[in-house]
Amino acid sequence: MPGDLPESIASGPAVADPVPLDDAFALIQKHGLDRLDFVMPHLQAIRNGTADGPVRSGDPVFDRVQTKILASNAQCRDAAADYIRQAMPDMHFLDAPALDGEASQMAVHLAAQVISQRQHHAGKPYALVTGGP
Amino acid sequence: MNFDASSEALVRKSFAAALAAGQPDRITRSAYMSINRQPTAVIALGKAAGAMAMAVRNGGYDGSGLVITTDENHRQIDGFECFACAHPVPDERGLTAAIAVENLVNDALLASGLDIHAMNVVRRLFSRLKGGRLARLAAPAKVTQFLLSDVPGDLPESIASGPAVADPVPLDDAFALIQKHGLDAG
Repeated sequence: MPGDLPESIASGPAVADPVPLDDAFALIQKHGLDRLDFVMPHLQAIRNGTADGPVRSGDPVFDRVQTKILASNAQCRDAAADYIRQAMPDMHFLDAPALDGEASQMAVHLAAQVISQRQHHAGKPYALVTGGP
Repeated sequence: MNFDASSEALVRKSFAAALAAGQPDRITRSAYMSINRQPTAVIALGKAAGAMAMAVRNGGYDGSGLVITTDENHRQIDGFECFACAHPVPDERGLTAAIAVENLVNDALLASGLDIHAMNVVRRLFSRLKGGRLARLAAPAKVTQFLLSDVPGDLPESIASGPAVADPVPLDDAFALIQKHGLDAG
């Protein structure tokens, strides 16, 4: 999940929702989702308190909730880089772009980026480690 | 740097290191073993849910739980109720799974500190069928109940929470029980 936001991982069943109702409403309108017949009545019900809205930060329901992110793209990238660093301590790491898209296309894009750096490194080893946004 | 065999091996091994860092079996098992008390229930959600539930089981969890995942990741895990649902657009199976989560959480809350009769007192208040409501639904039809009891005292209103027997517990007593166990919080 981009940014590893707990409220986005599995849509955050046990974390507070930080997005104000007005922002969510604007998003719904922007994408035309208010045309779906069940959307506006439900939003209205949340507004007037007859339907449960998302739970907000500070609510005592979270007093005994612990959240631990066990794994993320960033941790996986770090593990790959650590492996390379141990195997080749003189490795130079290029700044890695965030990736978002189809993996096979991203691989071609990255390979081109790595090759384009060749003349800048004069035979010294360099690596680009990325994956995920 | 020339991309030779040793470079390729380095890339492959670093990729393997990245995958290992995100491997649900090992990290979930290790996280589970770091908590100091067996949970009342386990709910595993998402594409890695099956692997995570299995890891918790391998970490020593011997209770029940739910696994809710996608069709391609669906598998049966002993002791868990496993649901395959559509992703990312939800379907009716997702609704069924969500209801199962609600029921599991409700049952787990009721089970915390209540004996079977007290739990059934509360269940009967909120169920659509228990506490004689099945009989009400079926009336005036004739209803014959065959009961197999594993409930202490064999009270008919506690066996399956008495779907077709009268509920003998006054509402005030049920309310007092709910307050005593803090189930009125929230």
